[in-house]
This record gives sequence, C-alpha cells and structure tokens, in this order.
Amino acid sequence: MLIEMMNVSFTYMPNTSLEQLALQSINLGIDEGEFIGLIGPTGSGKSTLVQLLSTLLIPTEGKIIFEGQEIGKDIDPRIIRKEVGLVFQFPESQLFAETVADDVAFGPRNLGLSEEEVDLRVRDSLGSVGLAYERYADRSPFSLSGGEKRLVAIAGILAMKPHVLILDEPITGLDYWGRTRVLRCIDELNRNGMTVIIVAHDMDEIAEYVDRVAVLSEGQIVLDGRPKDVFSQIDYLKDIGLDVPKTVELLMKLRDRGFNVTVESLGMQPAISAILAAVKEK
Amino acid sequence: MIQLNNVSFHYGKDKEKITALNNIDLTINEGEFAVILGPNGSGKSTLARHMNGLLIPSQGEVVVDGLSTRDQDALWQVRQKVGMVFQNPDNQIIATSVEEDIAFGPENLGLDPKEIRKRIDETLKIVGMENYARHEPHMLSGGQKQRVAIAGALAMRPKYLVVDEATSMLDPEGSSSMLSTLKQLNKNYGITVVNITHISDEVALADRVLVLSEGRIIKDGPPREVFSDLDELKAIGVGVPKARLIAEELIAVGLKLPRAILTIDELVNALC
Ligand SMILES: Nc1ncnc2c1ncn2[C@@H]1O[C@H](COP(=O)(O)OP(=O)(O)OP(=O)(O)O)[C@@H](O)[C@H]1O
Ligand SMILES: Nc1ncnc2c1ncn2[C@@H]1O[C@H](COP(=O)(O)OP(=O)(O)OP(=O)(O)O)[C@@H](O)[C@H]1O
Ligand SMILES: [Mg+2]
Ligand SMILES: [Mg+2]
Repeated sequence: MLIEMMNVSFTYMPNTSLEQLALQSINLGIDEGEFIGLIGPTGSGKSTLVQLLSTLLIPTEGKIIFEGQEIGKDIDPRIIRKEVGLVFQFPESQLFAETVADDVAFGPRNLGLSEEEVDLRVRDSLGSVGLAYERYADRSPFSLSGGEKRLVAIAGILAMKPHVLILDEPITGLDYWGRTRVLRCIDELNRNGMTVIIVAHDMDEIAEYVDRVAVLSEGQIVLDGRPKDVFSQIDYLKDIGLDVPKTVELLMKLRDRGFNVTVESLGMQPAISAILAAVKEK
Repeated sequence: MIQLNNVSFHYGKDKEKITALNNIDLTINEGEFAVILGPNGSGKSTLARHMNGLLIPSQGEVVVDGLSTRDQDALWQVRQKVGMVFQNPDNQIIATSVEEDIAFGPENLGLDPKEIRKRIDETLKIVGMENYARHEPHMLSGGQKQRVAIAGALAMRPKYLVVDEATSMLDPEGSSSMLSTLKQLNKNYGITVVNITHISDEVALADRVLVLSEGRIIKDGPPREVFSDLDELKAIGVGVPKARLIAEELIAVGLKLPRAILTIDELVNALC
C-alpha cells in the first residue's frame, strides 16, 4: 500500500464558534499505480481530503501513512510535498510567478534539478497541456483567461513528475480540447506507473479513465469501488446530489421503458451495442 | 437591451498587444436566455466585462438601455442594471461574513435595512445556503463560494444577469437546480440571462446560443440550429452535448434518429 488514511478526521478552526467538521473517520488505502476518481457533492470534503494527502493540512485525528511511514512522525511533511503533487481547485491560489515559464519551473527547480532539465520539463509540460511555449512562456500568469490559468497550474505540477498526482477539479473551465488533452495526458502518466487521484463533478468525463471511484458525502466515504459498481447506485447517487454518466442514465431510462438492456457498461461503444441490440429486439 | 456596436478590445500594447474582441456586433434583447460558448481564450470573459462597463471597448461602443458605458456618469446605472457573477468567486468576495457580503450591493443602493434583510434571506434560500449566513466566505468550499456569489448578484435584482462559468464548481444537482433557478427568474421575472459555460449540455435551456472563437462571434442562433454542424464546433474546441454524441453514434450504426437531440430525455423519447 502506497498511502493509507487511518481513521482520519479533520475539523476547521476547532474549539471556536466557527468550528466545522469537514471529514470524519476516513479510512482509505491507495495502491501504487491506481487511478482514482473522488466524487461528492458540494462541501462534502473532497478538497479537504486531497489537501490532507498532500500534507497542506494535518489531520486533527488519525494518521496518514506514506510507504509505511507515518507522516509528521516518521517522515517530514516537506518530503511528502515533493512526492505528492496537488493541482488546486482554483488555479489562482497556485500561480504566483511573473511569467508562465517561471511559474511552471518553480516545482522542478525546487527539486534541485539542473537548469537544463528544468527548461526541458517546462517546455514538455506546457506542450502536454496544449499551451504553445513561444506564445505563453513570457506572459504573466495573472493576465491569462480562466482556462489558460488552469492549464498553467496543471503544467506546473506535471513538470515535477510527482510520484502521486492529485488534481482537484482539473477539467472544470477547460474547453473540449483542453479536457481531452489533460485527461489523455494523465491517463498516459498513469499507464506509465504514476498514481493519480482526480476530483471531479462530471462523471462522463472521468468514468472511462479511472479504475476506482470513491464517493464522499458529508465528510464520510459512502461508496468505494469499481466505476461500474459505484455508478449502478443511480438512485443513491442522485439522492446525495450526484449524477451518473449519461450512458448509464440513458440505459436506465430505456430499461424503465421496457427495453431489455443491462446497465453494466460505462463506455460509449458498449452502450451503443447494448442499445442497438435492445432496439432490434423490440 | 445590451448593444455592442462594432466592439474591439485589446489587452496590452505594442508587442504585447492581444486582441481579445474583434469587431463584435451583438444585441442581447430583453427577456432572452442566451448561452455563450467558445474555447479557452476566445474572449468570453472579456465580452462579459464589457456588458457592465468593467471594461471599455478599445473601439466601438457598448450601450445598455440607451446608456453608453463610455459615459462615466452613466456607469453606476449600467452596473445596477447588469449583474455579473465571475468565473472565480474569490474575486467577488469582499466581506467577512456571507450575509455582509450579500448586503454589500444593496447597501450601496441605499436600500433600507429591512429590505436588505429580506433580500439576504431570500437569496440565500434560493441558492441553498441559508445555514451559512454567518460563515466566513473565504472558509467555504469551492461550490459554496459560487453559490454565495450568485446570491450576491441576485440580491441586486438586476435587469440583466451575466454569469461567467459561475456554476462550474457545483455538483450536478446544484448546477442543474441553479440553472433552473436562472430559467425561472428569466421566465417569471423577465430577467435577461447570459450564461457563459463550457458545458454544452446547458444549451438545452437557452433560447439563443452564441459561439465565440478568436474574439469573433462565429455562430448565433437557437440551440438546435447552432448544433446542426458538429464538426465545426468540435474543431474549435466546443464540445457536443453528451446525448447528441450518443445519438450520432446510434445514427452511424444505422438507427434513424432526428439530428436535433440535445438531452437524454429527448433521446429516450426518440428511441421509444
Ligand atoms: N478554510 C476553511 N475554513 C473553514 N471551513 C472550511 C474551509 N474550507 C472548507 N470548509 C468547510 O469544510 C467542508 C468541506 O469543504 P471542502 O472544501 O473539502 O468541500 P468540497 O467537497 O471540496 O466541496 P466543493 O465541491 O464545493 O469544492 C465544507 O462544509 C466547508 O464549508
Ligand atoms: N488581463 C489580461 N491581460 C492580458 N491579456 C488577457 C487578460 N485577460 C485575458 N487576456 C487574453 O485575452 C484573450 C481572451 O481572454 P478571455 O478571458 O476573455 O477568454 P475566455 O473566453 O473567457 O477564456 P476561458 O474559457 O479560458 O475563461 C486570451 O487570449 C487571454 O490570454
Ligand atoms: Mg472542493
Ligand atoms: Mg473566461
């Protein structure tokens, strides 16, 4: 096991009138090489959870074990921050340098890499997210459009080549190509061994990529399993404010109208075959 | 009515000059529910900021109900008419509690405290944040901040409401209820809504869809008309509503379906 959250709770501003319990008794194990989708309604604790994993927040109760060592006890959180890269929900909270190139270079520079290697990584990761180096390198990150800012923030973390990559709603605000490019890029990184955790609202976009989905509701993990098992809980998910992929919704609705379809498949092609067969049968 | 007459806008100058809007001619009519789509960097937020005079055109003119945004004396009135919810709610939060934040605009209008109280309660209820009135806005989750920002705009009772990706961080239930709230406000109170988004599925609610590309309006029409040619939209980076994608796949394997499908329910009906 790569990371293990053991009985972790987190309270914002404990012992004040504004005290807010955000996570409660979380037990979550993450294996090397997994690609996990973390979903949950507004305020359910997703951003808090990923900030705990990247040690930006420290549990108020329980412990987090990284490669067998307890964070804060056996191992310094600063070491974890080099291993775990987090792309924030709002890119503005991450950008700070005067130029895009400097911003993206910050992470790799901090890892003590040579300037040559840093430059290579900057070009590489800007390319992966679809920002042409010549056009963007010298621009100020603060004068970019919303989606461009997000792409720079993603590139900055990619350039660190972290052991664990965590992205908090990375595709929100990106256009069709941006979403496709970013998802394909992290999928490839995952295929090459990187552990990836992605927080998302749009099930359609991530269902096909992730091999596991964990669902948070009111600070607790309420479902955790393979996407097709989790998304088969359509009523429960709707109940807590979530959605299922559109293919699943369609198959369900067709089944309710008397079509003979199974709601097993998440991807586009299996869904198409299932619908075609059912329509012919009718 | 909001009119943009031959509007161009450049950020920076000389070598750094970026043309964000390029000869835009556009009229947003009273009572419309319009959606603006377009790839990253195509000029959507820049366009939105012109509608309430936050940005003044480099060329051309923006006129809101007869008031030009170039006219300094009219700007206050323009901002009252055109409410704006920004892409990043942090840019909008000013006060240290949610209710003070919402009160800020109405206080500036000089409304009496009773009326302000009423508006706070009303708008917090609309966005489902009534239990957070005394919370500190900076200490909310991303989606909660967006809800507060929307409440703040609604409390001003604007005639026109421009929302710039302001529901993007909400969960599916939250964003669909927020969108139907906007639709209700539009239908029942005649508030004109301009919704900027990357989620093409949201066009189903709109009367009109505008597509921006490289600072120009390349499409303008009812949703089904704009989504008749998918290739061109995909090429520039505008996604296709998921139901329509599925429908197209089904057509490709031989099913006969109309090419106007935008929602799953329409697709289900067409298949039955
Ligand atoms: N800095 C903070 N101080 C106090 N409370 C906070 C803070 N950040 C979040 N909270 C609260 O903790 C809870 C969990 O918030 P969190 O940001 O983890 O939710 P989330 O699942 O990421 O939501 P969203 O989808 O809206 O981003 C919420 O009730 C929120 O109001
Ligand atoms: N403050 C600024 N200074 C300089 N250039 C800017 C500034 N804001 C935006 N731009 C540039 O102007 C163009 C249009 O930006 P705008 O923010 O209007 O795009 P957008 O369509 O809203 O994109 P997104 O979908 O990413 O939010 C982009 O090329 C962007 O880089
Ligand atoms: Mg969050
Ligand atoms: Mg924008």
